[in-house]
Parts: sequence; C-alpha cells; structure tokens
Amino acid sequence: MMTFVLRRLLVSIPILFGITVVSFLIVHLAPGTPYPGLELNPKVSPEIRRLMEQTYHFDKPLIARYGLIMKDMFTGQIRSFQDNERVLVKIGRRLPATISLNIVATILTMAGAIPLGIYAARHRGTWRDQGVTVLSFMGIALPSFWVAYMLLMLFVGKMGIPVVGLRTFGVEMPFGVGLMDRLWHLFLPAVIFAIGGIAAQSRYMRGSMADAMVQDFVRTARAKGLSDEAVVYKHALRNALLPMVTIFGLLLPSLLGGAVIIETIFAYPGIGRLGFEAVMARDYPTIMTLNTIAAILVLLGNLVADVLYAVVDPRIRYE
Amino acid sequence: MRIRTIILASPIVLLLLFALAFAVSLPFFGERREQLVMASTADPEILNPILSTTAPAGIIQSFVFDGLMRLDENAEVEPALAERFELTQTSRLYFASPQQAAAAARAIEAHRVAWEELGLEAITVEADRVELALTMPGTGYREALFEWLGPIEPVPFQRWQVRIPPDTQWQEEPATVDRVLAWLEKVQAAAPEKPRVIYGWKNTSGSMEIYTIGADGRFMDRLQTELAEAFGTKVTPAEASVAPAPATPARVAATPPASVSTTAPATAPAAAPAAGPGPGMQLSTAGPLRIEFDRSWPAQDEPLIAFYLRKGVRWHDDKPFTSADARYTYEALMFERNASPRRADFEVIKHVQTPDEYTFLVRYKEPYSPCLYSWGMDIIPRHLLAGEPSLRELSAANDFNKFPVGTGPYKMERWATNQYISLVRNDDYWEGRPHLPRIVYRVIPDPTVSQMEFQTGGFDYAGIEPHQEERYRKDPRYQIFEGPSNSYNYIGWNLQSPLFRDKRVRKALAHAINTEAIIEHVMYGNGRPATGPYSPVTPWWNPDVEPFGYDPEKARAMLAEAGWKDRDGDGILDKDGQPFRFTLILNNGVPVRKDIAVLTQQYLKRIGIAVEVIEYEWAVFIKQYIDARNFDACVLGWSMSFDQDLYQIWHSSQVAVPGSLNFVSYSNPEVDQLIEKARTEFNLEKVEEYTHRISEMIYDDQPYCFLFYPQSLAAMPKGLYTVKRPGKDGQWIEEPIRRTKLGFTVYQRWWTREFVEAHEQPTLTPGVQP
Repeated sequence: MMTFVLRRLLVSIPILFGITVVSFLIVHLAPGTPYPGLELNPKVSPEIRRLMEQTYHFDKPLIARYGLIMKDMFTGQIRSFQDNERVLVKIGRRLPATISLNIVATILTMAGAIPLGIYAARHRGTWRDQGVTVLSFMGIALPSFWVAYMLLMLFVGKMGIPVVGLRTFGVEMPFGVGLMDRLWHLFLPAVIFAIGGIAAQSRYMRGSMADAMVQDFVRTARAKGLSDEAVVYKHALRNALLPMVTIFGLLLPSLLGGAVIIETIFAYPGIGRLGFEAVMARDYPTIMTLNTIAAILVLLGNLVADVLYAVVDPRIRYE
Repeated sequence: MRIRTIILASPIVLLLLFALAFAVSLPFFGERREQLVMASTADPEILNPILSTTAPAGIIQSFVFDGLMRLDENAEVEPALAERFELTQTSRLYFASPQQAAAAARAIEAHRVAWEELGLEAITVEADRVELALTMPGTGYREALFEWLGPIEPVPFQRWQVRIPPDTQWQEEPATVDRVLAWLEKVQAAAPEKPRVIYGWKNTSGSMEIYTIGADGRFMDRLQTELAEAFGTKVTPAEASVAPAPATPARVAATPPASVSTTAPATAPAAAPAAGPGPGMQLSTAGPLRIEFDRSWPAQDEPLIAFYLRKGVRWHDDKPFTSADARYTYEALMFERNASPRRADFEVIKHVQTPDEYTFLVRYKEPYSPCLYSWGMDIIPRHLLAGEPSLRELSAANDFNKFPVGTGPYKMERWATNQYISLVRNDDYWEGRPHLPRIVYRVIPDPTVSQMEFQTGGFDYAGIEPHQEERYRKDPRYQIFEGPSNSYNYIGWNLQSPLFRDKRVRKALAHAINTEAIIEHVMYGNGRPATGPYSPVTPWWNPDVEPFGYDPEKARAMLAEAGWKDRDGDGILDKDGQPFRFTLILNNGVPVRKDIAVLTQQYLKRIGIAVEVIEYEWAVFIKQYIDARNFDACVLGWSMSFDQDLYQIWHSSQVAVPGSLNFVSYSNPEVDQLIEKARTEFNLEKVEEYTHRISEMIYDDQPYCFLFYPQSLAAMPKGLYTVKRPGKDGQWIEEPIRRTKLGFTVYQRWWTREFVEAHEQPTLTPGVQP
C-alpha cells in the first residue's frame, strides 16, 4: 500500500509540471496586459504602460517569466497584479466561505440523493421509478444560473428576504443569531448546487442499489426471512454505497474550486469569484496559482479515492 | 431500522434546520442603520491613489482623501487642501552676448506702460540672459514682446531626446541616467560659454531630455561622443560626425527637421520656417546612445503654481498635514518602481519646493494648463509611507494599500473583501463634520441581482440602463437623475485606408448613418447627437456646431461626386474597379457597440456600401487591430476628463508613436496648432475660443463619425436624502439632491436624512476663493 501511494506521488510530479506549463502557456499566450482598461486612457502614456510592463516582467521572454512565476509560486511569494497582495493570503481569506458552502452543499446532496436512489431502486420499473428519473433529468438539465435567478426573484423580488452575500447586510446581530443568519444565507446557493448534485448522484445510487438488490446474498437474506427493511438497509445498502466512496475523492478539488456562477450571482465571496475576477483583470499570478492548486487537488483526490477503495473493499489490494 | 431512520430523516432535519435559521434571523432583517449604502459590481482591490485604476477605488478614495484642488459642481477647479493658489511664470530669453541682452532689456524697459497688459511684472538682466517675471503663465506675452525687441533676436531654447536603447549593456545599471545627469552638470560647469547645456532631465523608462540654448549639430555631436566615451561605449567618429548646421535664432517653435520626422507630414506651423538644427541633425545611431532633436522655443517659459495649504488639517491618525505630504505625493507619483499610471500629468513638472510647512511650490518645465486639474490628485501621508521600498512592495506590517489613511471626510472602518467596505465619518474634517455617520460600499457582481437588491432597499441609489428608464419613471417610488455624460460614442475611420482618405466620403458617411435613430433604438432615446470631441458638460463644447443630419440622398450624391458609383450593377458602389467594402470592428461584451455596428451596417447597405462586422476580445482588439492600425473602421467610445487637452488623441505627432491614441491617423496642422495653444493657455476664455474652433474643425473633418453623448441615468428612492452643505459665504444651504455637471453625487459628504438631524451643527471653514 505504502509503495503504491509513494509511486503515485512520484508520478504526480511530472504530471504537475506538465500542468503548470500548459496552464502557464494558456494564460500567457493569450493577448493581455497587466493594465487592462488603461490601453485607451489618454492620461496613461505608452511610456507608463511600458514601465508597468517592466514592473510585472512582461518585457522578459516567456521562459524567464515561467521561471519567475514558478519560483514565486513555490516559495509562496507570488503576488497578485491587482493589489500586490500575496495570492495565498487572498485565497486563504476566501477559503472559509467556499469550504462552508461546499460542505453544506455536499451534505444536502447526499441527504437527498441516497434516499431518492434507494426509493427508485426499490420501485424499479414502476411509475414511481420513472417519476424519479424524469425529475432527475430535469434537475440535471436545469441551468443553475436560471434556477438561481428564479429563486432570487421569488425570495428577493417578491418576498424581500435578504439572501445575497455571506450574511444579512447592514444589520448587527447577536452572535448566535448571526450564525443562524449565515446558515440561512448558505441555503439558496447550497440548494442550487444540490439540485444538480442530487439529480446526478441519485442516478448512481439507484444503479448500484439496483445491482445489489439482485445479488445472491440479498436473495439469501430474504430466504432467511429477514424483514424488507433489514434486507434493503443493512445488506444491500452497505454494498451499494461502495461506489459512492469515489465521490469523496472527487469532492476534494470542488471543495476549493468554488463555483463561478453561483458565487457571482449570490455575491458570495468565495474562490470561484476570486478566479473569475482574476481572469477578467488578467491577474496572471492569481490565475496560475488557482490552476495549480486545482491540479494538485485533482491528483490528490484521485489518490484518496483509490486508497479509500482499498480501505472499504477488502477485495481490492494494491501491490 | 436505525440506518433507515437516519437516511430518511436527514433531509427533513436539514430543511428544518434552515427553516429555524431563517426564523431566528427574520426579526433582524428589516433593521437598517443610519448609513448611506452604495453598490458596485467590483471590489476596488487596492485603495492607494498612486496605484489604483478601478472606478470603485476612485469612489472610495474620494471619501478618504482630498486633493489640493477639487472640482466644484460646475466642473471648475476650486481649492481644497490648498486654501488658495497663485499662478506665475518665469520666462528667460537668451541672447548671443551680454551686450545684446542689455539692449533687449532696454527695449523692454522702454515699453513699461504696456507691461501690465502682458502681465509682466519685472525684468532682470544677468550676463547674456533676460529674465521676465510674469503674473500669468503661458506664451501669450511673446508676440508683443518680440515686437518691442525688433531686430534683437534671442537664441533658441532647445530640447533634445537622448535615446538609450534598452538592449545596451550599460542600461542594465539602474543608475546610468543619473550618472549622465551628473556628468551633464560637470560639462555645464566646465564650459559656461555658448552653446551650453541648461539642464538634463530624466524621463520615464530610462530615457532623458537635455535642454540647451543655441546648440548646433556640431555641439550635440560632440556631446554625444563625449557622453558615449564617458560611459565606456564606442561611437566611431566617422559615423558620429554629421554636417554641422549653424544655429539660427528663431522666434517660433521649430518643427523637427525632416530627417527626424518620419511620419508626421505637414506639421510646419504657418508662421515661420524651421530653425535651430538643420536637416543633418539626426545624430549617429552607432553606439547605444542617440541624441535626437525634439523642438525649440524662442524663450524658456517656466510656470509656477504656489499652493498655500490649509492650516490645522489632520490625517485620520491625527498627525498634521503639511507641505511635506504634498511633496511626497509628487515624489511617489514619479518614483519609477511605483510605476504609477497617474504620472503623465506630472512629468511636465521641473521640480517642487516646500519653503515652509504650508507652502508648496510647483515649477513646470513649460506652460501646460491642464496641470491645474491634475492637482485634484489625492494627497497621501508621508509619515506612513516614506520608509517603504515602493508603494507596490509595502512591508508586511503596513496595510496602507488596503486600509488607507487620508484627510478626507470619511475614514476607513472595515474592508470585508468582495463583500463591502465601510467608512465612518471624520469628526475632525476641515470643512466641518459630515452629516451621515457611515457610508458603506457593497459589492454585488451580478447586475440583475443588483437591481433586485436596489428595489428591495439593499442600497440607496443605482445607475440604470437606458432600457430600464421607463420602468423607473413610471414607478412613483423613485426619482431619476439624468444628464449628459462626459463621454461619446463614435465610429473611427482609419484615415490611412484609401477608402476614408477623402473627406467628402467621410462626410457622406455622416449623412448616411442615422444618428437620431441609433439613439432612439440603441439608447431608448437617452442620448444626444455628438458634434465633436468635447461633451456638453464641459465649457469646451461648441454649442454652435450643428449635427450633419440623416440624408441618404445627399450621401449618395456626395459619394458620386467623390467617384463612388455602382458601375457594375451589383448593388455595391465602386471606384477604379474597387468595390466600397470594409470591415467594422469592435470589442465584444458591449451590447451598445454591437447594436451600433449592426445598424451602421444596415444604413450603409442602403447607400451601396458593404460592411462586415467583426467582434474581438478586448485585448486582441487593442493589440492586434487598434494599436497596429490594422483596421478599416472601429466602433469605440471615449470617456473624457474635464481638462481640455486633446493632444494624445488628435495631435498629428501622435500618429507615429506606437500605441498612442491617434489611431485613426488624424492630422490637421491647424488643429495641431490650436491644441498646442489650448494646452499652453491659462486664460479660460481663450481656451474656450480655441476648443470651440477645434470642435468645429474636427467635426467638419469627420475623422470619426461622431454618434452620441449618452445620457447618464441614476435612480434613487424619493426623499431619501437631501443636501445640507456649507455655502461659500459661510451659510448653510439646504436643497434637494440635484444633478450637476459632475453628476448628482457631488455633495455626498453633505447628504443627510431628516432623522439624522439630531446632532449639533458643526462649525464651518468657509471655502476661500483664489
């Protein structure tokens, strides 16, 4: 097991290197300047623009810029073009918001997807199963920004309830209430995440549950005379949950990744918005750092999923 | 059994939990504190006036900082941190000999009666030079003065650009330019005879200027060689030597000699032929150093602004504000490692002085009248920043860029990144305590959500889009503020393209495009036809210029006159076998511009012109098309500043400058001259005269198809705030909020709500007029 993990980590190094090169090239080969919006400002002469380019090393060849950015990134000194703050500090400041949103969204997703999947699997082939299927596909098909606008029009437009932001704006609340207020503000964005999530995950759940239900051990359990509840929730469910473990691995990158659209619509100060704004402002260091972190998390997530597999399923062994 | 309960109960429990959260916080939702709430779509990122570039940063900074000057409601300059200011000028005339200088002084003395009219106060003679003290900066005195002088002609005062190619080895040493300057000083000390170096000047990006009097080609050649030798670079004498051209005195600014001016055709002023260095003057390009002639003047004119600062003003941290802070602000703007985007207006400054704590003297290298507007620049505190390596690399403990300290009416309270910034009032504000205890600036990135938040009272006023205007007008809850903005939209014709070189064609196009209809359809009527490069909110706009008007028949006739007819019957005009077909480019993401492009395409199709519309991403649009002058026509808009300077956009000298803003390659010698006059003239009436003429000429030349000045629109719930501001005579003026030339937020520091009125009246510091 240890050798497997070590080997995977070692293989990750060249992959990571490749990813940084590709994301560096994508970012830097696109035309852009460190002074977006100032190109056509009569008060910013070409000399001043050149001076700003020098300040941000735009006058250096690509390879030198790659070297500089990598050096800064791995010493943690990489700084944003926009305000010269350390990118890691910027990310750190937004981390709690993004992580809390993703945790709540994940809990909601799981809480919805598992019962729904079980329900559909138990009533496989009936109109109930088909009803769940139709709902699921609707959930997958609905664009999240549209759902967000609809919910906002209902809550803010019609009812005038504050839902935008991290907490209710401009109101002092006692600590406990403030906490509840924050939780309430997580509700709509998390629900929108969860609609898509429940729709997709319940399909997986239904599939693996349906597989488990026709296994021999289920038939044995039923033959033993166990109640339906015990057969479904004890014997079948345990085995059906196995594939869902992979989702924990895939969760890791999305935990930090944030969601550009939802965070922007809900004025939620998370990492998705940081990345979006960095792209709009051509803040190369921030874009590069976020890309690299995302890449590391995907690599780690895959590794975690593989290891978890071996932990929960005794049949799987890595040599 | 247990597992089943958990699985089935968990969604219900979760929903109940959220319901509980909602129920607990519900009673607090309606509560609002006494505060003015604004919103924007973006976080300001950085709040340092030297570095910031975003509009949100500008708004916050206007509350936290003050400038020496500011604009009043009529967009006129008024003193702020400076209590008053004085403008004067020192002009020096250099002569061939002390005898001539003495003769010149006598000639000027003889006309003492007429001095006052010229603003001449005193003259002094020192060796070969006559120094004039003038009460008004500018070059207006010259005409009369040179008449008095008669045959006595001054030696021209010249400027040379020293080009240090960036790939030279010694450029890598950062102090090179400083060493050159020190060396120049030595040269000057060693050879006081003419021709001589007056002073050297370090510019942006390591280039420099040398100012000389009476220098000729031979002298500059020697200077270049010596410079090169002094710094260990080789200049082969054969290459370096150029044909000497004797320096002939000149009265009028000389044009660059032909060999230097590569692409600026027909810039010769009508008055006098080029003098100073002759055609041989483009010096050797061998070696890393090149000295190029720039221009010359008959006199050295150096305006001076004396600012007398307000006493008793304190920074938010209670330290006193003094002239050292003003000086530091200037130094920070010019410090290269700060790479400040605001330095352009300050590069014409020769030096600043602080004779005492409340006097700040700014000496300019040449008359530049927009300089008064530039002192609206926010002043930053020296005591918090002086020790830093640069403003872009503040030490870890210094959070000035995120938590600035100013002298303004509001202080920073809290910055919750990407959520809001709150400011509390500065009880100690020099103009009196502001009424509203707190101002909050929210960040709501999505425009639709922003509108919803506004309508539910989440913030206090909102800019509205033209298509929303009607809805807000019908809603009795809102009042609307509107007025022309200081900007315009246009279609720029590339005058280098053979299609648009003919002025008749451009005028025909102006008749062919229905501007009124574009305003109606694209802006929902919220705009006004543009008639030139200035907006009606400035005095520079010429009210007498009539828009061309839509007349497709006339357009067709004019095109036929210019030789464009549909000879082959394909529905497209042609001339010399070439069809009238071009590409109209624009940047994506701006719906208004896209609509303009499509409508233009339609209008031009009607008169037989085929237009292809292509959208590009902004960076590509600028770099590959606009900067490269690689386009036929483009849809763009200008947002203007309040000063009158059009040099960067319309002066022909900018055509050849890479990345400059005269990308349509407009060149009209008369306009050039008027632009130069306008930027050296300090008498506002005369500036207006020049700018009105400029408007007329540019509009007639039609290098752009000037489309419209958009109407700026904002909505606010009725009766939310009123203004209660100190008048200039020390009285309080109470009035409803109204739109002024600067918009409706001009007196925001004096906004008030009825219920806020509990507090006592602050004592006033009445504004003092200069």
